Amino acid sequence: MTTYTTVIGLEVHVQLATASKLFSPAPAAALGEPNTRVHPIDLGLPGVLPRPNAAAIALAVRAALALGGDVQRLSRFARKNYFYPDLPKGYQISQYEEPVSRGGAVPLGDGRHCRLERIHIEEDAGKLTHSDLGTLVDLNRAGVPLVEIVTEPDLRTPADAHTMLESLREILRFAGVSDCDMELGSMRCDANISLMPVGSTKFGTKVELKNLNSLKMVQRALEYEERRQAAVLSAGGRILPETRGWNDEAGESRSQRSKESAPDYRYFPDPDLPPLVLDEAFVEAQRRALGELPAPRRERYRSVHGLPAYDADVLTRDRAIGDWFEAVVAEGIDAKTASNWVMSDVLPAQRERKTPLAEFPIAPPRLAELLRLLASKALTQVSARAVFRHMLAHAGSAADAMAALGLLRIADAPTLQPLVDAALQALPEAKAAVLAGKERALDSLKGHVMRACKGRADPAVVDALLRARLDALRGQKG
Amino acid sequence: MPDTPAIDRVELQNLASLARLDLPAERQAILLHRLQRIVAAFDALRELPTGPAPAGLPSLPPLGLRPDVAEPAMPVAEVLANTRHQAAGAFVVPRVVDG
Amino acid sequence: MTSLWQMSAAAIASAVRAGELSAREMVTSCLDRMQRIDTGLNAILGTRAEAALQAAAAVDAARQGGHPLGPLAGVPVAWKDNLVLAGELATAGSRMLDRFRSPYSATVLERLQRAGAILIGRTNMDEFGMGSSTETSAYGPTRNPFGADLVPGGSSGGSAVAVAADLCPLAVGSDTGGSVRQPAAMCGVTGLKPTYGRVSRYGLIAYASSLDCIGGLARTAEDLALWLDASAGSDPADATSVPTQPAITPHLAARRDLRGLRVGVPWELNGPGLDAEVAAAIQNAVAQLRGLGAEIVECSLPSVAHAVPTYYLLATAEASSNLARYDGVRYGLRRDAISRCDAMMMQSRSAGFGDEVQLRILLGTFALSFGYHDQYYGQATRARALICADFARAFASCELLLSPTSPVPAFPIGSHIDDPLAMYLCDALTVPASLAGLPALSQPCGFTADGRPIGMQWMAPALREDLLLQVAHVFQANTDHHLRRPLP
Repeated sequence: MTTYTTVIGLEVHVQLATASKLFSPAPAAALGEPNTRVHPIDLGLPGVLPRPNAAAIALAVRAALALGGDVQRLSRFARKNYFYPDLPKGYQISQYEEPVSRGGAVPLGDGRHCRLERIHIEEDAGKLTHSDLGTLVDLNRAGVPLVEIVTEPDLRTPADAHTMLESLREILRFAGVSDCDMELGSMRCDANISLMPVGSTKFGTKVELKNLNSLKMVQRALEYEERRQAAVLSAGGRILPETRGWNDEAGESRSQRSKESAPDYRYFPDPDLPPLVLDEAFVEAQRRALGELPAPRRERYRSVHGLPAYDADVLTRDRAIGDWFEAVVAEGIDAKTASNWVMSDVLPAQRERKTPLAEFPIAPPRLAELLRLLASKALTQVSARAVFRHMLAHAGSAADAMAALGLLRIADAPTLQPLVDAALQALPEAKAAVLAGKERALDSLKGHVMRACKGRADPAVVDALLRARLDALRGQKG
Repeated sequence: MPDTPAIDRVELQNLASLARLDLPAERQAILLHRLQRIVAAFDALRELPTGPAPAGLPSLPPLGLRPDVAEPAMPVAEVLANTRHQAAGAFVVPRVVDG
Repeated sequence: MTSLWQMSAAAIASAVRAGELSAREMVTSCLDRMQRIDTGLNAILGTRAEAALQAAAAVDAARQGGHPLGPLAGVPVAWKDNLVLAGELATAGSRMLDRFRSPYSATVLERLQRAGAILIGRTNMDEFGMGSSTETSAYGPTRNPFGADLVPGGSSGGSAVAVAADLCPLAVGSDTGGSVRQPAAMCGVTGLKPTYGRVSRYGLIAYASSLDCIGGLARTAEDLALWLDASAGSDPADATSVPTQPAITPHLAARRDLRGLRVGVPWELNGPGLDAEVAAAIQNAVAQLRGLGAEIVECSLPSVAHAVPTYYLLATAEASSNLARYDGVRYGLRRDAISRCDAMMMQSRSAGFGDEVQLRILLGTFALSFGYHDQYYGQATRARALICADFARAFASCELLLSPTSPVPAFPIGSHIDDPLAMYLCDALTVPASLAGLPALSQPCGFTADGRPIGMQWMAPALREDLLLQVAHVFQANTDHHLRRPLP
């Protein structure tokens, strides 16, 4: 039986994070009741003209720079003509022969890359819903800005496609281009897949897969299609060029449209829009706004801050996490301590609250203050967490929280001495064990003291006082 | 110079389908005749030298960009004001058949 | 004393400002004349009497209150029905938009209102601007006041007739390949097509976006200068609009004669194919220009031989795309009781568009379609660049170019309508300036023996409307062709 090499290319649509639409000032939030985010421009009313959004162009350029694309100093909008009830003008404004960026690559994490053919800017269409009344047309999404990222046919396995999309998502989120949420449709992917006999250099007939609404679906649909094509080819069959829609529940794809005759989109330069000319200053401003990308940042966290790989990964999951972590470190806090607190306290609390990190009730300098108190032993780990929770609920400084919680640390010997004596009195077995050389029994004596003062005792002082008493007792015996 | 590509009936039907026009048979005959005459008269253009095609006027300024500020949207009643075919705030069209 | 309806826009505005004339009186006079005269002309598709009288009352109140008035205060203006005004119908001469009411206003109409103009009525036009005779309107042809069986030219025929018949002193039109200039010539009025982008297209129902220009029609160059100053200027709503230029009105009378002016007469636009009476009128005008001190120089625009096919391929290609929005879904004519969406679209479009519009959509679709795109649309784009280069060369040795506006005077209604190609060839003299995006002006320069007006066309380098209007003003000061009124 012949074995095959799989060849996969992706076309990824990413919604740009702008306030208004690509060519109209209507809000770009595609949510809300039907047709509540519509300007005469989005409705394609007679006489309207497109007004291009500077932020959409800036974010598209930022995406291109983040992906190593060659930003074109001159690009052009073109009309893609076709009729569909979700397309108000009867054409989509896109880019065709002169896209905003050519080339670039997405790292696959192991030194390999998936090369990009191009990135272009285009407007989204509206949304159709099918009901008993007929098909309903909602134009809220019509005109929302997108970039389409087209890869070279570089991917060889469905798992690679999954990795590529994860990596792409991470980079674009980092660059602030998009939130890349496949479930909400701010990132959408079509996949082209073909098989060729191992050793061949001539690509087979490709099939386009659509309706891939999550990373997992992309992988599952490609795995299914890989098996289907291998079975057809092994049985001596022929792959038909077609578009297939993935049905995740059924776990299979179904043919949607034959591609024997390509649709004739009659592209031509949009006469309403002069060429988009990007000067060096504009591109440089986007390069500066882009900042550090996840891979170099991860490397810096490992080498400069000495963090373990796991920490570096978590902290670079998005730009805000790393920025937050660095703001704590900038206050003079040890990097590993800061990382521990961000990972095990800040992020879980933020997830629970479902608010962006920027709105987190404890600002990085406030956490730094808490961590300095902890380092100076003014707080125990246990009470530090209580302080953290209090700050979360009431805002304010660590000192305010400690006062409110009555958590100012007890470190003076005259206050602690009676508690130490009480512990020795209350736990005669432990006392005997320590005197018999079992050091570990000391912990239960310390625990008793801590319980007695609700954890506020300075453990070092308690330790010293206990040892002093026990040494005295040993002396009496000896 | 390439031969004149005569628009024939099949080509006319393809164009009508691309342009979403429903042409009755008697209209087709008239349109076909007119299109053929016009295209034949325009064929001299193909004698011009070919090469990269400049797009747009030389006098046009480069594309100006609008600051990204969202403005209030149209009231839904205004969006739908020019059609009777509406339901639940949406435009209604007959069944969409793909393919 | 002249009747109110005979006054120029400049005279009206200055009388209103001086308190010698009320805007209300003026508007009432125009509305009355429209009602009386237009039944035989069909130039006006609808008036907004109530809103116009209110606007006029507001102008009068502002004057009485001592507030400054705009340069067009109280001037009644008609506008071509392919410009939208909030709350008003806008049909573009098509059954497709029979009941369409626009929720927003065209930039140019807002600017005219701001200048004090009173928008009184919508004018008839060839459907979507596609025609040279105002015969393709779904609302019936407009008739030429110089002869009821004659076309007024087109596509802004209604606007030209509104001025020619003294229904109003000023009308707005649009000019894609000659649609302001040619009807101006055929109706004996003056028409200006500004530089592409000088007047915002926002709110102009598109025919061919890279060629569409909003233009003005009036009896005098002075009124057109007022119109342009009020209408022009950069607009963030139109990405193809050009930066605001200095006002022209203050310098309109800068020239007393034409000494020092070199006028190029390109032989390609003044050669064979012209009606004999048109050719004679132009020769006569050239002699008058010499008499005024102009130097006439021979020049050549070799590539304009390709202008008509170039224009029609580009215009129809863009139109095929611009008119795709009329699909029955959101507005416009819609055929009911159809079970499939694509069939609904096809039948709605075929019912809503007239024959000439369907022909041009098909031609434009052909020019862009797979296999023909480069040979037709692509070649037309290249030819356009050659024509632009021809003009640039010609303007190296002269300030203005001169030609007849139309090779023929107004022709009988129905005589060309079944021969689209013959109709297209009538645009040969106006489409070159359109393709190059240059400003051009048509003004009356004579009459045929049977009394039909003849127009001559001035073409200028980009943004030199000042020169066009100054020269037209000098010519008008020394001739009386523009004063002949067809109707009492």
